[in-house]
Amino acid sequence: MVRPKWIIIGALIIGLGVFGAYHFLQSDKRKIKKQFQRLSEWVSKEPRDDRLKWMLKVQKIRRLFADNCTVTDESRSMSRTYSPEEIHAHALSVLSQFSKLTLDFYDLNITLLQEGKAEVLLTAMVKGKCRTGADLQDVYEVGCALQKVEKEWLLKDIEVIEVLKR
Amino acid sequence: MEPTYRNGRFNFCWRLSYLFSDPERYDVVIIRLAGEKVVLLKRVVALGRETIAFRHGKLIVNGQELDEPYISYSYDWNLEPRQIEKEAVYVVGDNRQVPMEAHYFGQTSVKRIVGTPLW
Repeated sequence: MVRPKWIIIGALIIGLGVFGAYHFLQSDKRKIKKQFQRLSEWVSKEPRDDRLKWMLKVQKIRRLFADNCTVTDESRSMSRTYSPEEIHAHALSVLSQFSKLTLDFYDLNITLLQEGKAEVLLTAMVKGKCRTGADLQDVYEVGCALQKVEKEWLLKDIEVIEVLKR
Repeated sequence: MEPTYRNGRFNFCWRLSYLFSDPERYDVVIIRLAGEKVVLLKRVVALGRETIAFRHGKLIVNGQELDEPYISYSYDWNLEPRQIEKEAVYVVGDNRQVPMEAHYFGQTSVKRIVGTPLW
């Protein structure tokens, strides 16, 4: 006959274990969301931004990407692997064409996989004004694969999902 | 989807449209573009496994020219024939006065169709 005391202790241990696992998983999801918040913040620019400060801000985006990050956009028949430095250089080149730009992420659907891997499906909205004066507003569904490297979640694969295939 | 549906208008999505049936040709459908909130409004012009093409602004499905009574003007789109995958439909907007290159249309999975406009 098991004493009620041991049942209560067992239930408490199991409860703490479940709570701990839930907290751990939520903590990783929060970290992943934070990475996208950082990407949004570091890529966005306003016309009044100091150029040097903005360039230093863009430089930080290297920290968000794994050593080899593959970017795929089937609608443009594009698939290429970039190093963090190449991503930074490419971002700088593209962003320089805009006087104003915001990149926002919505509806992040995060799935934690085993061994420090995660998949995220999200909506990316880009709004801005080109230096030529043209306005830009686009929405994309984007699938990302991330991997955990030294406690940081880094972007490993990015795919712009083609909704209408001509 | 001008002129059938004008920019800036308000509508509802009837999500039960395809609960017991599949989209049919000429249906105006609401397609999930991204997340839960961003959608497209397009018209189904061809179904899964059919071949679609445009020739001098005429819709050609499986080699036959189909009427499009909702298009009241001529346009000059040309698109080579292509086969639609199973479990997919081909959708196009009604505003064919824009150049084909500027029009967002194509094949999409039936799973992305969330419903039809209520009116």
